[in-house]
This record gives sequence, structure tokens and C-alpha cells, in this order.
Amino acid sequence: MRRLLLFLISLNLLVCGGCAVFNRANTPALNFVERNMIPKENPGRALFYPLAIPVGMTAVSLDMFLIHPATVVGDAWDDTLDMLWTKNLDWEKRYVTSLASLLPRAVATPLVAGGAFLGRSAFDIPHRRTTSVAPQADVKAARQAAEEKRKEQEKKLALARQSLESGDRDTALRLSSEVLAQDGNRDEAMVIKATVMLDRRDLDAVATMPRSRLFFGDTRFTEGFADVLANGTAAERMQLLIMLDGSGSSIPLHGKGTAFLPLLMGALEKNLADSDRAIQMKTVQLLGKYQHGNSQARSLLEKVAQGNDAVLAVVAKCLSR
Amino acid sequence: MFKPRTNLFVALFVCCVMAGGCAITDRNNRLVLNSLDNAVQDSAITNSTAGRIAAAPLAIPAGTVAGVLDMAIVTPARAVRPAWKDTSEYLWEDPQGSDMRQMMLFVPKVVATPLLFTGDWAFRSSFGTKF
Repeated sequence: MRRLLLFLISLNLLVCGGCAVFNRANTPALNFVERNMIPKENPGRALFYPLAIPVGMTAVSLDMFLIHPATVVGDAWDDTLDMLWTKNLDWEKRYVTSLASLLPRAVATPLVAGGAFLGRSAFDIPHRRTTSVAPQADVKAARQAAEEKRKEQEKKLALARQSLESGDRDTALRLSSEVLAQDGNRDEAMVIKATVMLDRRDLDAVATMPRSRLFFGDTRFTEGFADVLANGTAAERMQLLIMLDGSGSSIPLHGKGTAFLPLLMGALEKNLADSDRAIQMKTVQLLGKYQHGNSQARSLLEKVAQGNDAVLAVVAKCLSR
Repeated sequence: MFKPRTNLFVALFVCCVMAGGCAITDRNNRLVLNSLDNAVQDSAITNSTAGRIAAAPLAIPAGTVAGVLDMAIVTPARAVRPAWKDTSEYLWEDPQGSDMRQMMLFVPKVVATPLLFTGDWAFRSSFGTKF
């Protein structure tokens, strides 16, 4: 018996960081002593000091062994009912199981109730009313708020897309920015914003936007991109070529989302004929990059390799090897 | 270490703590009991309180036997295959390193196989893991 006591005390010491008595809410007797029995002014306060330890210990002991355990009886019983009786007893659909489990449940009831009572008496486990009802309401409210927010975002995105199609770029930009301010990971909002930026030829902004690979899955964006790449100023075209180069393997060359490739290759072909050598060079470099995944890029590169421009032909041949 | 009564107390305490994860508490591990439940569902027995009470003297022992069958035979039998798969995956599949290394590890692996298999099987039989 002495060893068992030692075992229980050691167990209690091990976990006493969560001891019920360290929470002010679990020590009504000590709170009462603190509030009403300690004189506020000297010398009464000083005279009370020798009594503070025995009175405090008595109050804490009362709290630990009588008052707090008495307050958790109901919770412990509710825990037991929840764990063993309320759930999983279905007399219509699981008649035999329910019946066969009656005896084990009855045997387990005092054990579970005792364990729950001891656990709740010793440790600072919040009362059921505060743990079950309030958080459930909070979770429900949070879920509802999130759902409303999602619906509102969907509405804004639909409106933004509509505005973009009708040419109202300001509204599209404003709405997509609002959605992104709430949720920075909304892909569709990002694509709409990038499309507006591209239309406005604000290529710096497009280049710095994250997850640009998503943009190439959007027809409206890719059409705009190919248009600028084919018809933009030399500086704009160079910027887009650099952007493509930077996108690297994130540009899809196979499977889904490759509908933009013919447009892109057409624009690249146009750039091969440009008078600016830097643009020609960068284009050949990109074709070299895409040649293994795209037959159109390969044939364009072969054409350059057999063309009249000796310098570009050498580069194309080197890249084709 | 402790006196028998203390040992019993500690064992009972540990059992209570672990019982929550016991295989039988998971519906998916009660094939025989579930089939009995399904057999009497929507029948004269479960449709009325009188029927339920009348059938209880028969249903309690039948249910208990079914539960014991589930615990002692069905679940352990079902646990054999996944336990063997675990053992095989862990010890024998995808050997890494040279042939020489594999040769050196052969005997330890042979020794470890029954140990790992038994441990895995016992765990899967006792606690609710997915089969």
C-alpha cells in the first residue's frame, strides 16, 4: 500500500504542472481567505504573516480534497455517460451489439467514472460547460463566417471576370485585389490581376507575381501574352522572353493546359525575324529549351539551323545537339 | 516490483486507459457482431420494445459469443496478412546496399522476421488498425 501511495505521488509530481490547484478558478477557499481574511493595512497585515502559511495550507487542502473534487462530480459523471452510454447504443440498427456490450459497459462505468473524477480532481481540466458548448458555438460561427466569406469572394471573382471580358479593367483589378487581400492564394484572382496588368503593359508587375505557371492555363492571359510577345515594343518583347525563360519547367509542354503553345510558338517565330539581334538570340535560346517537349519548337530551331543567318544557325545547331 | 494487489490495480488502470483503442471498439473490426445486427435489423425483434426484451436472453449470450469470436479469432486472422505485408516491406522488400551487405544481414533478418511479425500481428489484433 505504501508503494502504491509512492507511485501515485510520483505520478502526481510528474504531471503537477497541470495541477488543478494552480488555477485560481479551482481554489475558492484560498480565494476567500485572500479576499476576506488578510488585513489590508499594517500592522494587522504584518501580524497575519505567521498565520499565513497554516491558514493558506488549510484553505488549499480544503480546495484540493473537498471543494474542487465536489465540483467535478457532475462533469465526471457526464464524461462517463458520454463515453459509455450516450453514444453507440443503437437498439434498432445494432441490437445485438448494444445488448452484448451492456455488461462490459456496466463494468467499465465505475472505472471510467472513478478515473474521470480523479483526473478532474487532480488536474486542471476545464468544466464541460465551458469546453463543449462554447467552443462548439464558436466553431459553428467560424465555419459560417468562412462560408460567407468564400461565397462573397466567389461573387467578386465572377464579377471581376465579367468586368475583364467587358473591358472594364479598373473594376476587374479592384475586385481581384480585394479578393487577394483577403486570401493571397486565390489563383483565379491572381490570374485576373495578371491579365489586367498585362493589358496595361505593366510587365514588371506581371513578372514579379508568384505562381506565373497558373497564368498560362488561362486563355485570356495567354492570348494577351502572345499578342504582346508578337506585337509589343522590343523592350516589352524582351521582358516577356525573359519571363518565359524564368518560368522554366513550369510552362506546360504536354497534356492539359497546352492550348496556348501554338500561339506562343507563332509569337516566337515572329521574334526570330526581328531586326534586334538580342531578341533573336533570346528566342533561339528559348526554342532550344522547348525543343524536347514541343515539335513546333524543334522544327523552328531546325529551320534556324538551316537558315541564312550564319551566327544564329551555329547557335541553333549547338542547341539541337 | 509491487505487491500482487498493486500489480492488479496498475494492470487494470493500464487496461482502462488502453481499452479506448481496442480493436473491438471499432465497428469495422466486429464482423460477426455486425452480421448478427444486420440479421435482426428491421425484424419483429427490433421493431418493438417487447420483442427486444423477449429476445434478450438469447441475444445476450449470442452477442457475447460473437464479440469473443471477433476479438479472439476473426480480427487476429484478418491481421495476419497485413502483419506479414508490414514485415515483408520492412525487412525484405527493396534491399539496399551491395550483395555482400545483404548476405551479412540475412541471418539478422531471418531472426527479426518472426519477432517483427508477431509484434505487428499482436498490435493489429489488439488495437484498431485498418486492414
